[in-house]
Amino acid sequence: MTPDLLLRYALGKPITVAIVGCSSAPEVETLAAAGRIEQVIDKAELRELIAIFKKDARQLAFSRGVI
Amino acid sequence: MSKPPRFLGILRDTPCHGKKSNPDSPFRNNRKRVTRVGLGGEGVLRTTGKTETAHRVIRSAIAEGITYYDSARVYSDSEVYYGGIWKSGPEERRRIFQTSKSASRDKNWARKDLEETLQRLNVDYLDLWQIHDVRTSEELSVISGPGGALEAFTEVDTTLPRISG
Repeated sequence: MTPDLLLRYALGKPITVAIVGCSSAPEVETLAAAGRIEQVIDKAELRELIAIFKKDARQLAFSRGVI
Repeated sequence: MSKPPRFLGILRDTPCHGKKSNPDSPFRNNRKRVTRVGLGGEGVLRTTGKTETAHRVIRSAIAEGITYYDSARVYSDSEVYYGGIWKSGPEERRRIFQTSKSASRDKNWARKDLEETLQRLNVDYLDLWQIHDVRTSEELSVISGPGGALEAFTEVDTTLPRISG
């Protein structure tokens, strides 16, 4: 899992702007690079990402007050 | 300078409740394109005492062509860090889309937040001012009730910020 993958996941959603906090200039460069490319996350990458977060999804949703 | 991130759209000068801005307002021509990625007010910006690193991050975002800059009154010194950059570069500030937020639920406190936000950012307007972190219907009732923060937001639609939301 990389920041680029997470950014492309977010940018593949129906949003206007992906607002991302950064702590260094290289992180800003990664963010800007993700904003330049057309490629969104593909199915294999999506499966990889879901597998990582699936076990914690319910707890994360609870923390955000979703459930 | 690298090629800027792709632009997604134009945030128009359209208040959330549908009224048009005062045609005499200096903000009537506000149409800014924003990049599809924006610099968040968290990360190193939500700190205190890290001016050098924070300024490096903001300057890097400017150099990369990012145009959306997020902040909040309660994000530690994020507004102050931005303010240090915009003070020495007011022309740059006019080119970008600066936002902030108030977490106050009361009209008078929200208005005070806005005054402090403008002062801390070293700007005379915001492009977007938002009500921060609304989580429950009870909070929404307070905000939208008599004397609630929403009154401060609707009153300034045609004065300081260009958009409230």
